[in-house]
Amino acid sequence: MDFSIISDNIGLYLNGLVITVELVVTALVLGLMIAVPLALMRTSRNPFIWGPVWLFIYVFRGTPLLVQLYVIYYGFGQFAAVRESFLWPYLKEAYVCALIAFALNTAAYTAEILRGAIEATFHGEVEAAKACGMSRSMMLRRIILPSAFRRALPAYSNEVIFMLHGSAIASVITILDITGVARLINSRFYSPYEAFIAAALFYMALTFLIVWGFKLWEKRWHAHLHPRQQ
Amino acid sequence: MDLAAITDNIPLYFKGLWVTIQLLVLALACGLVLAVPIAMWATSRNPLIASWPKAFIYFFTGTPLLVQMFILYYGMAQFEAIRESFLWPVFKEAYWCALIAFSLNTAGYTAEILRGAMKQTDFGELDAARSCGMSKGLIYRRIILPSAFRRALPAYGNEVIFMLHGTALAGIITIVDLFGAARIVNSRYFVPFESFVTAAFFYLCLTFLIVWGFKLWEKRWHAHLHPRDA
Repeated sequence: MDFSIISDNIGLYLNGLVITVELVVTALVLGLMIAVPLALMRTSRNPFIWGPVWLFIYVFRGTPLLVQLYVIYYGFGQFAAVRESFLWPYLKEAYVCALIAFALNTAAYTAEILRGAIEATFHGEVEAAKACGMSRSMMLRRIILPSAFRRALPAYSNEVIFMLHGSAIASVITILDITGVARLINSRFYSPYEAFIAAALFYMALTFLIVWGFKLWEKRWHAHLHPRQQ
Repeated sequence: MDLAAITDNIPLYFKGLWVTIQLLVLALACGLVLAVPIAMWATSRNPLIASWPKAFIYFFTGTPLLVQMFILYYGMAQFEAIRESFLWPVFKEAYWCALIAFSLNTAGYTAEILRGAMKQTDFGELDAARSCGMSKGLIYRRIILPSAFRRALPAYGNEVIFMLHGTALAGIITIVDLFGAARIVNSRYFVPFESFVTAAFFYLCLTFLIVWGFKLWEKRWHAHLHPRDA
């Protein structure tokens, strides 16, 4: 055991940490932006609207993230149409491909969480909103979405942690995130145990921060559900 | 698109499918056997006793499966004590390392699910069991565990699907599972899109079977919760 290798290369790990956090945050933000309209379409009664969304969600929740990443990173480059399009400078970058895969994956999971939360909206609230003469979009903005976000929060915190763990897969396609740096250190110094344990500690610290942050957030958003203080 | 490479190699995919199913079933079985005592241990009221299983759960649910697998596969070989021990024939095989990592990972998640389910046991049931003079072991066997398993079933169905997606990581450490088979076909014929989409299709079918199986199982175990047929 020689942890001086880790302390000598802590700068590399911190760079990896930045990449991991960047990937996760960007993917989550993009995913959430895609997920909200998808969830609304999924709750539509028209089968031509909810059908394709159902398929998208089913495919992205039904296949491993690793396979999705490979299809996007290795698969799309196969087509001349993609290689010659204006998107190629972006799609040839491993980072952009990872980001697209993660964003679509988390969008599917988040849309499914939001769909459940939207469908659990209390009937009386919708009726009251209609009785007040709210339009459909105003009802969505003021009644359905705010309470759905609140109900979705605990499940969403799990999704954020899964996304953090999923981002470790980016290291397989040459990205130097935390796991990627651990692989680099391992191949330079042949110290697999120390390298990967250090990576695990970084991930554990991040998980701890996420759990703690969501606890605070839930405390705030679910304040009305707490027992009254004496 | 060149589907001939896929159809010619369909036996390879079926071999990979078999390895994936084997890994999944064995990991889930080992994980469940480990998870029950860990969950019982974690519900102890003594914080000194409960902190050990909680640390286990925290480590395995707090770090990515990929990192856990790398620690076992690359990390363990670093120690001479392990290389010279009777355990070496186990730790030098990628298959066993993957199986151990998957088992411990799913044990962590399953223990957490079971712990939550056990904590929700109705007080009245325990009081009734005690007043009937049941011993602690009998209470666990007849009252706490059966109802906890029932409550844990929907969350466990999700965990099984996550484990299925997790097994794709085995393809990275040279195991020829479904994903490994796709990698081989891709490296032989350079058809990344077709090979990985085929793997995705197999995973999709497996997910569908698991979801369907758990639906039937829930119907059976949660029959007492259904509205009565008119």
